[in-house]
Amino acid sequence: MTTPSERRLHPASPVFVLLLSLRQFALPIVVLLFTGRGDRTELVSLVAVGALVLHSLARYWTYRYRLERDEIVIRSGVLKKSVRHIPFARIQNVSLRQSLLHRAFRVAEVELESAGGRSAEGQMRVLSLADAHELEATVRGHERAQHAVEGGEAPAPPSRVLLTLDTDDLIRLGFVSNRGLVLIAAALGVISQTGSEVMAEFLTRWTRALMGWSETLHLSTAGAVLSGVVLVVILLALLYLLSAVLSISRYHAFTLTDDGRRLRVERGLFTRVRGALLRRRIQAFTLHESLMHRWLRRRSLTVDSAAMPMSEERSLSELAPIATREQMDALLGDLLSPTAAWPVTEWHPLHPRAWRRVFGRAFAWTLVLTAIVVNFAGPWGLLVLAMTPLLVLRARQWARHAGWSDAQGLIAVREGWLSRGWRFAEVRKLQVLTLTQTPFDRRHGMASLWMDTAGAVRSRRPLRIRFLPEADARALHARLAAVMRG
Amino acid sequence: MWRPLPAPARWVYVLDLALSSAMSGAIVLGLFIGFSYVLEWDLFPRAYAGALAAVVVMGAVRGYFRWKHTAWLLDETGFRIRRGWLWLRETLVPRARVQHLDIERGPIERRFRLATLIVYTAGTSNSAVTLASLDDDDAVALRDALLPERGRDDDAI
Repeated sequence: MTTPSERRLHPASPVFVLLLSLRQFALPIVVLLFTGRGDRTELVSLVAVGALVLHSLARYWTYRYRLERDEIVIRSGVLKKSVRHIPFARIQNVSLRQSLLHRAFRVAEVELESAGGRSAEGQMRVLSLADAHELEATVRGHERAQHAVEGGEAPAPPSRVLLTLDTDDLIRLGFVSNRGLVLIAAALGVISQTGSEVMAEFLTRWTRALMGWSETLHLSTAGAVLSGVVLVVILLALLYLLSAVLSISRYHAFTLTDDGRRLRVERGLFTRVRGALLRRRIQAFTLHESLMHRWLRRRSLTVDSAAMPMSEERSLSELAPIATREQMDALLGDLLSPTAAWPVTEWHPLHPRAWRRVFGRAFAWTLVLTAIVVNFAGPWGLLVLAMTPLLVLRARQWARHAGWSDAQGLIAVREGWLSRGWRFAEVRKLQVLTLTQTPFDRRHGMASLWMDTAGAVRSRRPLRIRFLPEADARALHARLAAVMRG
Repeated sequence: MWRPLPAPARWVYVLDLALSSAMSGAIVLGLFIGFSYVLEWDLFPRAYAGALAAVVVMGAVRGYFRWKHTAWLLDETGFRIRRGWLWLRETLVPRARVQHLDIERGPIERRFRLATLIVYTAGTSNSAVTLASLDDDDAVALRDALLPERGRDDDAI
C-alpha cells in the first residue's frame, strides 16, 4: 500500500542494485562458469543470476520512504518488514554519489549518515536527482531552522571556497601519489594469484623481442647502457602518465567549501562524489610531505573524523589532497578552532640520544638481514653491512627533524627523514593518555607518550611522541591531564 | 596512593594467562607436528609435552608478574592504571572522557568476590580500558565515581 506522501526509489534502481550484487557475486559465478564441467553449471549460474534479479526487483517494490515534518520514514523488507524513523536532527550528513551510469539515468546514490555513525542509517540506491536534491535540501533546511530557534537570528553564513584543484595540481598529485604503480602492482598480484601463464608468456616474448631487436642494432656497451636508461625513462614516464590520469579521474574539479558548520567536498571526473563533514567532528590532522612533495613544493592533508566513513571511496579524510605550504597553513587556520593555531613556531627536540635508538633498531634488523644473506650467499653477504653509514645518516636526519610542541592549544609531533609527517590534534580532542617505557627507554632515561583520539585510523601513524626525556614526558603528561580536566 | 590488586586476584591472573598460553601453545604445537610429519623430521615426541608444559608454566609466571605489577589510582583528574614490570605502561582516562562503564564478573572472580571494570571512551585504541579482578566493592565504587554527569557536553566528538 502506498500512502499518497510515500515515494519510491527511481524506477531504474533495480538495475543498480543488480549491478552491485553482480559485482559482489561476479567472482564465484565466473569461477563456476570456467571451472565447472558439464551442462549443469550454466544452469546453476543462470538460476543464481535469476535470483539476484528477483531480489533487486523485490527490493524496489518494497522500498518506500516519506518525508515527515521532523523525520524521514523508510519502509523496506520483503519477508521481514522494517520501518525506520530517522529524525532529521540526527542526520549528520547526506552524501551523494554519481557514477557515469548514474549520470546517464539522471539518478544518484544517497547515503544518510547519522550521529551513531558506524553504519549508514539509510542507504538509498538510487534516487532520481530531483528527489535526492529535495531530500538534501529538506535536511539542511531543517537544520537551519533548528539553528535559528536555538541561536536567535542566525543568518545562513555564505559558503566560502577553501580549496580548488586545477589540472596542474592533479598532475602533480599523480606524481606524488604514484597510483599507477599501485594499480600495476595490484594487477600483477591478481595475475600471479590466478596462476595464469599469460603474464610469464607475455614477459618472455617481449624480452626476447627486445633482445633480438637490440642485437640487430649492434650496439656498443655504452650504447646498450644508454638504451637501457632510455627504456627505463620511458617506462617511468608511462607510469607517471597513468598515475596522472588516475588522479584526474578521481579528483577532477575538486572543491572544498565551508558553509559555516560543515565542510563539503566535491570531486571526480566519471564518478562524482559529494559529501560533507561537520567541522567539529574533525579529531586530528596529518600533514604529509614525501621527497616528491618537497621537490614540487607541495604537501597533503588528511583528517581523522569521528563520523565513520562508509568506505574509503566516499571518505572525506583527504581534505586537501595537494596544496602549497602557504595554502595549507591558511586552510588549517580556517579549520582549527579559534583557541588553536598552526603552524607551530616553537618545536621542542627529543632526547639527545634519540638518534641512537632509531639507528639501533635499524641496525639490529640489518644484522638479521646480513645473517640471512650470509647463510645463502656466503661471506659476500657481509657487504650488506656497508649500509651502516647510511643508517647513521638516516637516524641523524630523522632526529634533526623530529620534534614536538604543546603550545597554541595543539599537541603536535613531527617525524621522518626523506618523507616527513606532521601529526597534530587540538588538546581538547584528546581522549586517553598513555605513558610507556621499554627497558631500552629506561636505560636512556626516555619515555613515550601516546595520545588517543576518536576516529583514529589504525593504518595511519598514531599520535605519539617517542624518545622523550623522561622528565619532559612526565611534565607534558601532567600538563595535558590538567587541560583535560577542565 | 596507588592501590594494588587484591591478593586472591593472583589466581585469576595466573589461571587466565596459563590457560591462554596453553591454548596458543597447543595450536603452534599442532602446526609444528603437522609440518614435521609432512617434512618427515625425526623429533622426540616426548619433547612436545615438555615444551607445552614449559609454555604453560611461563604463562603462569607471566600471570603472577602481571598481577604483582598492576596498580590503579583514582584522583580528581581521572582513573589511572599502571602496568608492567619490564615494559611499563601508565594509562590515564580523564573523568571528563568516560563514556560509560561496565562491570563483569567471571565464574572464578565471583568465587573470590572480584570484578572486572571496563571504562569505555571515545578513543580508538583505548576505546575500552579494562582492569580485571578488582575487589568487587572497589569496582562498584569506581563505577559510581566515574559515571559521567548528565548533560555533559560531548560536542567535541
